[in-house]
Amino acid sequence: MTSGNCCKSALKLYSFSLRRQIAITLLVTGFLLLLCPGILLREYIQSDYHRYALGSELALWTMIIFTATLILGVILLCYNHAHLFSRKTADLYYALPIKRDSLLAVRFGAAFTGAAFAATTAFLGLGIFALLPGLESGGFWAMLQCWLLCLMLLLLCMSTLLLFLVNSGSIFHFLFSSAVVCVGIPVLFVIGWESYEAAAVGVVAESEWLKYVSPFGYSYLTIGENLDRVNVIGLRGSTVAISLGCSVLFLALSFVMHHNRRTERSGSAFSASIVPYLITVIAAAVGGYVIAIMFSWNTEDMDFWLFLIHGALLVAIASGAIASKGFRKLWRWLICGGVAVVVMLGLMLGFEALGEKDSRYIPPKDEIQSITIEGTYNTPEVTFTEDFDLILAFHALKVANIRGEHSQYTELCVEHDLDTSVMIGDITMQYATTEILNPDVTFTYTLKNGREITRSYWSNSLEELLLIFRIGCTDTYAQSWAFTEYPEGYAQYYYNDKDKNVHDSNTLTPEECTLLMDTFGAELQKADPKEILTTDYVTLELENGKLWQQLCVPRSFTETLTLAEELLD
Amino acid sequence: MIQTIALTKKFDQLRALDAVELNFTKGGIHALVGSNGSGKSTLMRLIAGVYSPDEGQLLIGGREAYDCPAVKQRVFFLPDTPSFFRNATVLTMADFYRRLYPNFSMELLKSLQNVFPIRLDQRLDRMSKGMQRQAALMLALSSGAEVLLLDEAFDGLDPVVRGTLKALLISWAEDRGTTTIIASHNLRELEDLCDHVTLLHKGKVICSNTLEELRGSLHKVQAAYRKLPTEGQLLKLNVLKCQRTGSLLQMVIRGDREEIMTQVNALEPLFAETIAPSLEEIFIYEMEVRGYDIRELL
Repeated sequence: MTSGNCCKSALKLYSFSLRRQIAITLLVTGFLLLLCPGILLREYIQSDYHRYALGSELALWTMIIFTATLILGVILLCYNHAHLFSRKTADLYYALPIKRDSLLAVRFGAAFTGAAFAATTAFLGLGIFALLPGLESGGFWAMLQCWLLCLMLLLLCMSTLLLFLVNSGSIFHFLFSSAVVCVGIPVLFVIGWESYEAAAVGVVAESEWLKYVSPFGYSYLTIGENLDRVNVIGLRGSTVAISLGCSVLFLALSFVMHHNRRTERSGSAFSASIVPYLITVIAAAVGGYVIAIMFSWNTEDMDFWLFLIHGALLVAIASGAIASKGFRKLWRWLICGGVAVVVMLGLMLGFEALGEKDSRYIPPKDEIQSITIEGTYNTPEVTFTEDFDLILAFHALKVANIRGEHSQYTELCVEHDLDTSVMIGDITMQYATTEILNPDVTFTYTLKNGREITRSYWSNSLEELLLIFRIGCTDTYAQSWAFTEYPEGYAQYYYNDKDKNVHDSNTLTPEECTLLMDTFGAELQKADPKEILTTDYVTLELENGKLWQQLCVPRSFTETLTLAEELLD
Repeated sequence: MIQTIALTKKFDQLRALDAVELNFTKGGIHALVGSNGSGKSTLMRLIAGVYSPDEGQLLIGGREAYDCPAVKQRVFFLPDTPSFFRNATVLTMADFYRRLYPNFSMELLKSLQNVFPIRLDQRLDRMSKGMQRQAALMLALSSGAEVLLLDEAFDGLDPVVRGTLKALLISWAEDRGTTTIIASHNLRELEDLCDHVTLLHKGKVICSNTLEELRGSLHKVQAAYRKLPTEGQLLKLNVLKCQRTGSLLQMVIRGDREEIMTQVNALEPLFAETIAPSLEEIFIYEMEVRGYDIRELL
């Protein structure tokens, strides 16, 4: 048989496979057409929705189409590769005059074609919708890019699944192992990151890594990210490279593993004998952690680890039973469970150590592009592109105070049994006598190499308080309060005296607002800590329509209060 | 046509086939017989290219069969449990095979309807086991393959269809030169069909010969004596088995029929006759000679 004849046979089998799966393909396609353009058309017809901005919803529709077609792809993959798991079907397919690699390629191709057909039809439906008059369609190119992205990600996910398919002993094991790896690894990653955050007190660091540990996570995050901006920047080259590159890699791996696969005996079909053990370790690690979290929230308690060990062993036995289709050679799976416990311990300790180290890291000044500082309670953020020294000093102070070093201010709080808050500028300072629950100052460093480092801390010292205020007096900060957008600010003045509730308000000029703040700042810097900690204060609010700021002014700050009364009079 | 050279197939620790050396001639009808787990189906799957050999070679027309479409096009494998697509009719399956077997004949398939009472547009999953097998046989015969591998070919077929199938296979072998390999436990069915028989046991070939040669080498003799002959007198005969019922001796003797009868008549029996042994009996005796427990085999 010549290679031409081989190709001809493969094509004939491909066309036959397409025919066999046409019913389910059309069913899913019909369902998708109900959604788009069906639902959109209904909205268009039934309402005055003539300015429907489809462009802004392309991400959502792409995600819906991608999800539905991915489900179809999984069904078709299972349907088309039944010969990998059933001896009866293997007799039918492997006796055919076609090479095994061609058979795998043809069956995968047919499954992908079915899913791609459904996706393409759905996008064509969206295209028809876009032709309706009076609609903001999002543009032909935007839609074309969405379609291409959907197909590329579909190929990526389906080639990943093919890799699991050729490495599984049954359909159930295929579903189990792909879920364990594609969901379990991100979960392990998140668990590690949580340990990192817990160890690095007051540190929050986000990572892009999570996006890259699972093709499915990558797909959904990419659709979300890309399509929010699809009209602006279009389909990114990196997305195309990653999707197609990884697809080719996974397909090549699938073929290599399929070549080594033993289909003859159920239960030992794995191309690499380590595969079921590896999957069992991951499943036991994730399962053990989930069970431990369900029964014991605190990871520092002994019972958490007892539950984790118990859970890991149970999940390992279950996973082993799925892989070996029975409860044989239990000791092997129990060892996997034991390895999973060690992995979890190592993972959590490793990430804790990393977190502790990173909690003390302050980026070098010459690497910093900008720093954004932000307080909690919806206070606005301010970005500094200069004046880094004060912020770095503040950060250094925070790092020094990370580990329970009680400052003079905290001691005063404890001594006087005070639980109060002081607001300076737009940064809220939370103090409590017992426990500080939430971080209230967040630094986001944007480095010159594009990397972002985010750190959040709570404030617990007077030194920090004053530093924050001094930061608030910088030009950048002042500019954020320059009342440029609205020519005038609006001030309100309250007494919190129980007997005398005074409420006064007035419209101030930007200069008056700034003067009021400066006066308050000057008094604050001179003040004794005990004076600041008083609960006997007057609340002063400043607002300009864009920013809102509340100052808690102690009654002893006579200059500020006098000025406020004058301005509000 | 088909040659196996030290062909070995292992499933984990089990050697399903152990250094099997066989030759299947073109146009012959070969029977593969043996106990459960003797390796019949494994050998068939190896020939069909479903399995890959672990050791040794399997050559069809001088070429390795595994993963070779050109060779596999000449072979059609009908497993013990035929597999069909869900909701498929005979026509659907024919359409499938037609794409892959270049000599597949739809005309032949339709003409086979006269032989097998099967409607081509009937759904296979709604057919009885016997009807499904008939449909599978129709597809196999229509495939135009030079080698037909039929595992448990007569399983589930009624006597009329069994007879028809035998006639068809003989005619296919004579007219088209089709090589047929049939695996079965049912030796009586194979007896009047096959011209070559191979006995497998625990993955090894016990014997492989033409049916005529096997029959010609063994004779079942019944002789009645007034005075039973002594062991010494019987030593001249190559007696494999001897059973006494009163004055009647039933013996299985290897050798030439004429010579055996001359020797038997020399002992002055009241009467003596030879009976042709059945295939089943031949194998029982052959196995006993080789020290195998026949109850394990049949």
